[in-house]
Formats: sequence, C-alpha cells, structure tokens
Amino acid sequence: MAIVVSRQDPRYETLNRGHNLRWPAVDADAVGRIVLCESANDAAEALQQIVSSGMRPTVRSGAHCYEDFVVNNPGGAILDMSLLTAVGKASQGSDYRIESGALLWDVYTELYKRYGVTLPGGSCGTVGAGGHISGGGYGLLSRLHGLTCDWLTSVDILTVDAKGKVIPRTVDGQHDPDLFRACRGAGGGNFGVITSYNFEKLPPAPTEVMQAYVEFLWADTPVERFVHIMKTFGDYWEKRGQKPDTWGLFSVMNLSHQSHEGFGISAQFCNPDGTCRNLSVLNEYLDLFVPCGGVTTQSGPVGISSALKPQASPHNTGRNPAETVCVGTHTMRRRTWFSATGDDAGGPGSSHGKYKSVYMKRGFSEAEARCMYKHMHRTIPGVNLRGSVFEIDSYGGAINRKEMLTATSASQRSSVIKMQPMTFWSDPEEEAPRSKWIREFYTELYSGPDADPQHPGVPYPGDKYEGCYINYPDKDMLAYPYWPQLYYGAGDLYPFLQEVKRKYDPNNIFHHAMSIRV
Amino acid sequence: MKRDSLSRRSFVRMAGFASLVGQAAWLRNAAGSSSQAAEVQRPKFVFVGAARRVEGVHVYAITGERWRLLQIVPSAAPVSLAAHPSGRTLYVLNEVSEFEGLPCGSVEAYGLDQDTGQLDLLGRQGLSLSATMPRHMAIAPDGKSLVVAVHGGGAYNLLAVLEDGRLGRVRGILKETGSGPVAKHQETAHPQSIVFDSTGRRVIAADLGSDQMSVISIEDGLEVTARHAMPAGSGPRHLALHPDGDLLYVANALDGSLAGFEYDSVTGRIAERRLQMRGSFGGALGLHPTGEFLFSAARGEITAWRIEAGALEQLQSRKTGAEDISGIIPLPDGREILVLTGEGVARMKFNGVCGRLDQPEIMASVRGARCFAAI
Repeated sequence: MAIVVSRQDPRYETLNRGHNLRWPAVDADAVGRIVLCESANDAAEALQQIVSSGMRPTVRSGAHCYEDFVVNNPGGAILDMSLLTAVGKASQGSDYRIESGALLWDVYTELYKRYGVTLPGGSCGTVGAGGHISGGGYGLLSRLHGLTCDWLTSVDILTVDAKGKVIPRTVDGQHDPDLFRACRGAGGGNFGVITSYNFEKLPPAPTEVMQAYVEFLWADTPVERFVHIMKTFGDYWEKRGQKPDTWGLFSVMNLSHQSHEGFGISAQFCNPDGTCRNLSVLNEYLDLFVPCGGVTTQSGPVGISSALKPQASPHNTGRNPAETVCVGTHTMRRRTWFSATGDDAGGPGSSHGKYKSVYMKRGFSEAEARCMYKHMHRTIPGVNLRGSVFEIDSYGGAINRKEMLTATSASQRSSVIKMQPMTFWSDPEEEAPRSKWIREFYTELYSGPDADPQHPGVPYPGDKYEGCYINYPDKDMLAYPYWPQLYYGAGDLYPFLQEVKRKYDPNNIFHHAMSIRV
Repeated sequence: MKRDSLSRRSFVRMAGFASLVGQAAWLRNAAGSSSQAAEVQRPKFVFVGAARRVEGVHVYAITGERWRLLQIVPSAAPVSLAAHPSGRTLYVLNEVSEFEGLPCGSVEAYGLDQDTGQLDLLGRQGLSLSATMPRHMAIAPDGKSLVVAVHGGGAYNLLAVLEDGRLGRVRGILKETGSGPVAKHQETAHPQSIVFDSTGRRVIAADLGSDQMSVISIEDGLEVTARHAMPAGSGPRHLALHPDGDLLYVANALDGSLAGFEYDSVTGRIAERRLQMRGSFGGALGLHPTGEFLFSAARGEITAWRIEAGALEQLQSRKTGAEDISGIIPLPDGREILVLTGEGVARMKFNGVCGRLDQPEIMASVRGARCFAAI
C-alpha cells in the first residue's frame, strides 16, 4: 500500500524537494502530494488513481534531477519510487534485477558482494537507478564497459493507454522493442513509470584500481600554459585514449574558477582484466602533465563531482585503507575497487545548482582553452564564484561501439570527452548572477571558430561536438528550437522517440519541460 | 421552413465571422423580453482574432451602422476571446504549442480603454506544461477566475485574475484521458469548450476526443463533480446554456447532431436528455437573449430554432456562402446576430416574431478570423 504524504504531513517539506534546492522555484509550483510506493503493484495502483483523478504524475527515484522536471508539478503528485530498492537475482539462472528506486551505491554493493559484478554507472552513489539508467548513465568504468543502458535486457514499465488505463509491461528486444529502445537512453519522465531494470549479464567488478590526482595552481598557470594543459588533455582522449589498452583509464579534469587555489585532473585506472599489474598506461598519461607544472598528490579529489562534496561519504565500506605508492615520479593510491567506489559515492550536498553539458568529438582548441581561461578568471562584483567548476570527463572507449546507436537511444557514440559545467550556491540571491555567468561562458565557448555557424551558442552535433546529455538537462537550451537535436542528435532518433511517445503515452501523461514532444 | 442562399462572392464582399466567446457577457446584459431588449445598449467595439494574413486582434468601433477598423494588435494565433465583466480587460487565448520554449499555450491580458477601444498588453501568461494548442476559455461571472479548455494537451487550466486584470499563474490543472472511435479526431481527450453555469462556481465542459461532458468545480482548483457520456463518435464541440441556466445545448462536431439536456444547477448534474437532432448541426451555437431562440451553424448554414419547453422547432436555415462558420453571437437587442467565419464578421437581422433571418451583411473583412468578442 503506497504511502501518501500530503501538504499537511510533516514529511512534506522534506519530500517535496529533491537534491537541487532551487526547485520548486515558487510555492505555486509545488506538488499536492508525494506517493511513496513500496512495490510495483503499489506503483500501478497509485498511478491509476492519480491519472483517474485528473492529476499529473511526475516520477522520481533518487531525486537528483538537475532541473525542475519532477518537483514543478502544481497540485500534482510525485510518484516516488525510492522505496523500491531490491537488487539481485530471483534464482541462480535468472537475470539481475535492479528496482528503479535503488541508489547506485547500494546497487554496487549488492552486485559486488553477491555476484562480483557491477554496473558501469555513475560515481555519485545517491543517484537513483530509475533516472540514471533510462538516461544512459555512465561512470568511471564506462570507457571499459559502456553505458549502463547498453547492458539492459528488459525493463518493467507502467504505461497509460488512451483510455487512461495503466498497463504493466515487460519490454525487451522482442516485446515492445520500440519502447525498450526508448528506455535505453532517452531520459526519464517520458513514457511511463519504470519499476525495474533487468540484465542477463553484467561485467565483472575490477579487483583493484589505482587513483591519482594531478594538481595545478592557478598562480603558476598563465594562459599559455593553460592552453597547453587543455590541449594535452584533449589530445590524449581524442587519440591515444581510444586505444583499447587505455579503456580502463578514466580521468576527470576539475576545472575550478580561480576563486579556488587551483584545479586538477583525477584519474582512476585498471587494466582491462580488472587488475593493476601493468601501470604503463597510467604512467604514460600522468607523464604528459609534468611539463605543464602538474604535481601528483595523494590528497586531491578523484571521482566525478568529488570537488563539490566537502562532506564525508555517507557510506562506510569497512574497507582497507589506501596504500600510497610511488610509481616512477608519480604518487598514487592503490585501492580495492570497492573501497575506491565507496569513497566517491557521496551526494551532491544540499545546495542550489545550475548545470550544463557538452559532448566533444575532439580535444580542445586553443580558442576554446583561451575562452575557458578567460571565464574562469572572470569576476563579478559582489559575487563569489567559488563553487563553479567544469568537470571534464574522458569518454569513448567501449561507449563508442556503433552497434549501440540503433539498439539504444543514447545517440552520442563518437565523443571522446564529456563536459559538465556547474555552479553551486546556497544564497538564493546568487542564482541570477551565477546563472548569467555560466550561460555567458557557455554561449561564448560555443560561438567561437570551432562552433557550427548555423547553430551559434551551443555544441550542435557536427565534426567537433555531439550535443548535450539528457541526464544533465539544461532548460537554457529551450531557447533554441533545435534543442531536441542537441540531446538526441540530428538523425532519426528524435522522430523515432516521438513515434514511441505517441504510441505508448497518447495522452502525454508523462511530461516535463524537456520531455519528448509530439 | 425556407432556405435562402447567398453567393460566395456577395458574401465575401459583405460578411465576416464571430465566435461563441463573449456570449456570456451579452446574455447577462440581455433583457428578458424582446421589447426590453430593444433598449439594451448596443456594442461599441468588436474584437476579431485572426490567425492568418494579419495575425492578431483586429479592433473595430461601431458607430450606428458603420464599423471602423481602429487597431490591429499583434497576437500569436488567437483562438478565443473573453471580456472581463468589468469591461476593462480583454483576454486572448493563443493557440500555440510553445511559450518561452516550454510546451504550452498562453493567454494574453489586454487593458481595454472603454472610450477609445484601445488595447494595451498587460501581460502574457503561460499555461501548464503540456497544455498545448488551447481551444477555448471562459471567465467566471465574478471576474476572479479564468478557465481554459486545452485541445492539444487534453486538459483544463484554472488561472486567477488579479485585481488589475492581469493573470496569475495556473492554479488548477485537470488532466484528462479518453478516446473515441473516430481515430482521426479521437485518439485522446480533446477538451473543446466551456461555459459557466448559473452558480458561477462550476463550468460545463465538452470533450470532443472522449465523447464526454464534464461538470467541473473551480472552488478548490479544478475538480470533476459529474460526468456525462455522449454517444460514441459524436464529438461534443460547442455548448450553449440557456439564460435560465437549466437547459444545455450541445453541438456534436463529428456526427453533426444537436443535443439538448436538462441541467440542474443546484446539484451540478447534466440530467435527462431532452432532444437529439440528427443532421448537420455540429457547429457553433448561439442563444437569443430572450432564451426563446437557438441558432446553430454547420456547413456554411445558420439555422434558427424556436425553443419550446426545451424542445426545438426548426424555423429557418440560411446559407451564408462560407463553409467555416466558427461562432454566433446574438446581439442583446435580439434583432441581430453576428456570425464569424474565416472571412470575418457578418451581421444577420433576425425577426423574432416570424423567426426569419435576413441575408448576411459583411461588417468586417478579416481573413483567417477564428474568434470574436464585443463590448
């Protein structure tokens, strides 16, 4: 039986928000109720009741949506799946099943301890499986093993037919294959309520990883050196990083605003066999940054978003401590993969945030690097831009298997870098200047000589860029009539998704500002 | 019954078109009898929303028999107009699928100078997400709320009207589902039109997509208080509520029928069906201010009916020369009706004694006209 949290309930003020405290922007946007489901049957019954009463359902699992797609639902109902957390196999021969409310860290824990396998998902452990996988989630192992949605075998989903009746479906390559494909990367809140994901097989978890952090001080980094660092980073991932022996290397540049002392590059590495017996690839990579003034340290951030998580990880893995080792000239930490993953699994904190995204098919040009340097040194009177960062991820490898283009709805399969510009604040007064800063930065960056002159201001898919990531949604993109092409490519995918939308959600029950439009 | 016709050329030269919107204000002002109606103030201004050629709201001043174009206010795809009961604000519903990048339609509020007819934009308010391609709106008799029927998104929206006439944010959403057997038009719910009942606290709504009528309370958001299923494939499209508030007429666009129901304004229930006229009557409706006559439109023809104890006696049908009649507004003096087609607004004189409609005269040529109001 679902738990209904109404406006009068003391839990309402907590549950009507997600991790990004920007939303709901005003009280008038807030939902009328939150319905917490404890089973797939609960979800079906609750969804039927919501639809039949003329309310709008929005769906959430981990509550990490960057924009207001879930909590901006005036008088409507959030169908909260966060109590559907089962992970495992029903029997020895059955598929791995992950319920949509399971958090990534719990997914990793269960899969590792019970089966020794993992999902190549994100490093933020409090992200929920529901939105992460449906949007084509990726993480530190994705260059080695592909996207999370690449491994899907089937999806359990509730849809609503033309008459308003809730229809439970299990979709796979043979049953409603069009809807199955749409659930593999098109993003949440589009077609129905996913209650669980099923995987016939999953990749083995690495035994161990090496982690390293290269630090640069802004004070020692004039613009020429900065350009060199960016080009070095980008060139590696554009060329060397596409060779299979490097696919176990994942690296993140945390490019912070100059209000921070410096910036850095994190790296996590294992060989394709999940061991660290041969470190030549990692050493080769770290060597590249020595001439740029980079110093490897053992104290810097490692995983995605770590720079933004001052709080300790909420997860105690009971693991062995890291072993600090020196390999050649570099200091690095040897960790078990499980403990390394647990350390990076903290949430994003309770702050307000604005996010953008970019897929890059090539490394950085000098013009791009100079633009980034300029804006990372920009100051705005009365505004401290601390907490503003571009996270620049290595990409490609196994993700870029072209056969996944038609099997899934994740269209970006040629990129070598994925970038996430972000800025965080706690005082609501800072929203306007910080949003302006990041918007102007982004617009100028994609209006330079590398940009498509027909689509200035955005990384329109072409020779250099491959658009944006739907799991990092950015409503600023709605200013461009071709925003769907940014997220789904300029080919046949978006029209396909529109057909799926018409077929399985004819009433457009599931919608938000950037949902598939018909 | 006598049928008259008018050549398309002469019609185009003379005629124009109207919409159902604005009728509520007329009915409230209308006198209870023909003799009293003659003393009712005549309209000073007519507003015509056009979605083609010169897109926007065309404002006409009426002086005696003369209509004069005062102003054309740019507006995106106006599809429904509603005048505030104060006469100081005009609302324009935009039949669009996107507003400020979001998937929704919008409503504009214009300050209206009651002396000059000048419209000045007060603001534009987006509808709820997915409320695309709205079709019709009505303003509450107390002037505090506006209800929108949304064709594209299959929904109704409730908006607050602020003291200065501007619109507040959407404060009530009713998301509909349902379908019908006519696949081309009934793949999902398509709310079409709404009319306030005599309490002013409920609207009666017609949904072409789901063959359904609904009674919806506006007191605490939007809440369905009663449903009434129409024949499958009928496609309810236009509504007219008798000035006494107890008779409801429904024009069904898909099967062309015209239905009449008793309506209980105390309980808010659509009760017994009083009539079902098969034929070509599925277009716009208009009620004579006395409540003695109903006008219907379909296939370029206006039909006058006498209302006898809820039943209808067909009096006359007259071709207008244009196929796409989208609205009828009987004027408060009871002697004329305004008819809206895609060519503009035409006036037809009406003799309530013999029930005869005269030939249409074009008063305003507005290509692509979709909606109409008069103050």
